[in-house]
Amino acid sequence: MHIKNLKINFRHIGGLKNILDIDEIKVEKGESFGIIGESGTGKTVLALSILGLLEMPPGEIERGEIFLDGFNVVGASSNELRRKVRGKKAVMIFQDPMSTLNPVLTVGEQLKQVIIKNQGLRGRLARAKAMEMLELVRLSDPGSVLGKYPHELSGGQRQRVIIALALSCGAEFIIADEPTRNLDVTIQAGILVLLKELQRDLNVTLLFIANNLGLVSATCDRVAIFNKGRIVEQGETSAVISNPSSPYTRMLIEAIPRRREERGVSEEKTAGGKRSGENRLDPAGDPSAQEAAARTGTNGPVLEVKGLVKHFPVRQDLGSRKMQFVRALDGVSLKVESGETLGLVGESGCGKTTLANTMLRLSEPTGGRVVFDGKDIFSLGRKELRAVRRDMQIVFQDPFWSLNPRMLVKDIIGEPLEVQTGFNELERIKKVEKLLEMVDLPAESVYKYVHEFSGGQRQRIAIARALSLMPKLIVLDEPTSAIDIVSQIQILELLDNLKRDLDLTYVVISHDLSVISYMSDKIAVMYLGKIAEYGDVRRIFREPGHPYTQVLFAAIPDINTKDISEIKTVRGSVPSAIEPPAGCRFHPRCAIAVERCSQEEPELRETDDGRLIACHLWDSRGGSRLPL
Amino acid sequence: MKQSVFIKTMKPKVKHFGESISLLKRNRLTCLSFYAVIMLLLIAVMAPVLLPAAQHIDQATNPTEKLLGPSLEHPFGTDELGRDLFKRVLLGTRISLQTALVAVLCAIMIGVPLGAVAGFFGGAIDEIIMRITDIFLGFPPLLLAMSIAAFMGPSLRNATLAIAVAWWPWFTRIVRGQAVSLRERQFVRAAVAIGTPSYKIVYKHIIPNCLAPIIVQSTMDLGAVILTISSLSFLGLGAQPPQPEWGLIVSTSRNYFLNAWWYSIFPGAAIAFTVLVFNLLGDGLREIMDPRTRNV
Repeated sequence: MHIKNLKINFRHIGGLKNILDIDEIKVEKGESFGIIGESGTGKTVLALSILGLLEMPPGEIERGEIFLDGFNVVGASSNELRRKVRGKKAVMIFQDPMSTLNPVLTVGEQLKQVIIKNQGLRGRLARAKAMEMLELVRLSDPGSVLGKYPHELSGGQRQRVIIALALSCGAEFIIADEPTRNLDVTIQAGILVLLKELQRDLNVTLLFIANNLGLVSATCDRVAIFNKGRIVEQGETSAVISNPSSPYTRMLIEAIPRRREERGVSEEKTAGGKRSGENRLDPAGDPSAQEAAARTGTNGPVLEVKGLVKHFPVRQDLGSRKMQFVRALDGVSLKVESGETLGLVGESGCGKTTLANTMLRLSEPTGGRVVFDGKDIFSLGRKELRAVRRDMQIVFQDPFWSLNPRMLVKDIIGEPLEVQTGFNELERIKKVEKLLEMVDLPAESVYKYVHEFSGGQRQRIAIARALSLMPKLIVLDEPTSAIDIVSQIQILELLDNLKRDLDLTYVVISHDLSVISYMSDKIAVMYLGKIAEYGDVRRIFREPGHPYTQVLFAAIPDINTKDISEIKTVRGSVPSAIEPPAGCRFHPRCAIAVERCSQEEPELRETDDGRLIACHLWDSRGGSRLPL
Repeated sequence: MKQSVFIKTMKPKVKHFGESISLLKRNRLTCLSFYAVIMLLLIAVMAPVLLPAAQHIDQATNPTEKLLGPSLEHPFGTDELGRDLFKRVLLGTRISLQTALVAVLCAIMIGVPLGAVAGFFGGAIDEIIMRITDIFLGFPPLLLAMSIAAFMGPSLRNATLAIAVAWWPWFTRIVRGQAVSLRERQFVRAAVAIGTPSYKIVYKHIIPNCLAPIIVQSTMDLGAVILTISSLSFLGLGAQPPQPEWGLIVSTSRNYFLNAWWYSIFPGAAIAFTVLVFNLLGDGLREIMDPRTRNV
């Protein structure tokens, strides 16, 4: 593939907007090429225009050429595109595997259609070929997968089926547009390994679009970094990562959160700078800060969760009387000491967010207790609960949804003050201005709507709202996963500084291990509604103990992953939380499981090196010294 | 100080409104219908003022000039009592718009809070409110309005009330659907986490975020309500003679239809025009209110 001088514009109500302006990209046959950029930089637009799928209008190609195997896609008629390009020369794997497959046809039907059309095989032969394709993408039990509908498959399986579909077209150029975006990390690892192996073994060309350098460092030979529709850097992957020439690439690499010990220099930089005091609230002049000081009791556990259970009822079959439950939380206990930061890690569906919501009593539990600041919050009446809410706040994942779009910033940040304090409007505005200053936003922001702010700025507003009552505990539910990479590090630094200045206690929820390691003192790894491992973050990161923790850590590629073989994959996918596996919940996927694991549920117990772990085999394996 | 806070608060709101207007101007059809609605409103307000002794002129009969065709003197012709139809149609604008506005506003005042409460609280409250709405929605709105108007006695005021009673369930339904999805939004959860009381959440977070569909729906409903009022008047359950109500004029014109076409056509066209204009405006507003077309 060869792109020359491509310029694509989008026509909007506001006029013409340049989306993409590329000088040259050349992808050789059999190569894997990565495209990296933050969201909105035109990566997907590029992918669509290679296949001639770009919608025009609003899009329009101002100039340039895209050659696929010598054929110029720009300017080709839709008929030509259909006959020569799509499915013949190039295919695309989209982000969302569910909407790519037709929900009313079985996987086998869909595969067969493609095979019949592109390879001229019929009946038995087509079926056999379909089987072969499914085996090629390493789906276990391809025979039964053929007869299934897309909704019966898991996300990882679906993405594999789509790859099989793409391969059976016979195209030798595969465009993968963030193929693992909606997948869990352990599933993502499998797909990455599969794509890389296919590219190596079948000699297909891979154009891999990603928003994260870690994903491409092991999979791609060469890489192009996009920023605002322009290529800022292009070259060998390892060279770009180890020796970035453009400031933007350097910024991307520096934006990856690192542990405090590793950071070293940057720590002093932030501590010595303007941080040192001017942003701090003056406790004497601030009534609510004084109150907060008075409210702070002894230095003990701020939050204690004891055997928390949360089941969501679901009706399985139409008409069936039997109620079934999603066991989102099945007996979770943990303790958060005052002033420390607890990190909660786990794949989606493991109950992290349910835990956050339930421990703040945003939803009612099925069983168990949560003691906050010495009070059992589930036994409180409405008035007492409102008083307790002053001390515990939450910052949500997505700042686009967590701020009311119809309210001005002064009303958003001022809402807790209005509800909980007797401040009049002027006092409130003064306080809001102070809070904005604490989160490094200009004071003029007071009279603005949230849509005037970027993602990172919105998250600052959300943080300011959480701070407004000077709480003791703030739960951060994926605080940076919805904002771009560069703002992420700034938000994390801000949170870190606020914590130091205001003596806060955090519970950080994230699936991103680098965020957790940056922020946390303690870490709890969750799997299917249970805690698998709990302990000091440094120890667990150095020597993950539970087999699941080990797999989880090894599944995530980062920029230091040089070869695909360094990524560990785990078989299967996360089982349904409706009927979790008996015994240890991880045993069906565990490489070292023994019979006892499938019968007896392991207790969370303390080991000699001070962590809590739920695994029968800890002792016999000699602690964490025997990694998988 | 207090005053400056107020001014500063209003500034972004005015700006926001200005953006809406400038968006409106980009879509030609919507823009035209917007101007047409303004024109209708002007006529409704000004006609009784500008035509001095309007009531007198309007109701003065002049048998010598009965059933005259359109001419320069009488652009829309005259009716069987010699009244000028042009003036009557102009004066009818106020009746139609006023009753439609009142009816839709009443329907919103009943429907929106009910829908927001049902959607936000869910459970038994939701069930009760929505089943009642379902009962109302089970009847065709015109039939329901007719029976209520017939029960209360025929008059324009009763017809307006009848329409409001027949119309609120549509708003309840729309708002409830919105509220159910808003309840799961994180800003509503954040408000719960802050300790905001439920009633405040409903009127500060839920209802303001339902405004866009409410405005679109009510604009379109204005057209439909004008049609319903005219129908009720046509059936003798709304405006009573000698009120210059469009539906009523059409109704009396039936007897003269064969030899006085202008008698039915002009008031009928007025109804059709008004309904069309409101529908077009509603359609355009739907596009403008859509955040996807907005944040560009």
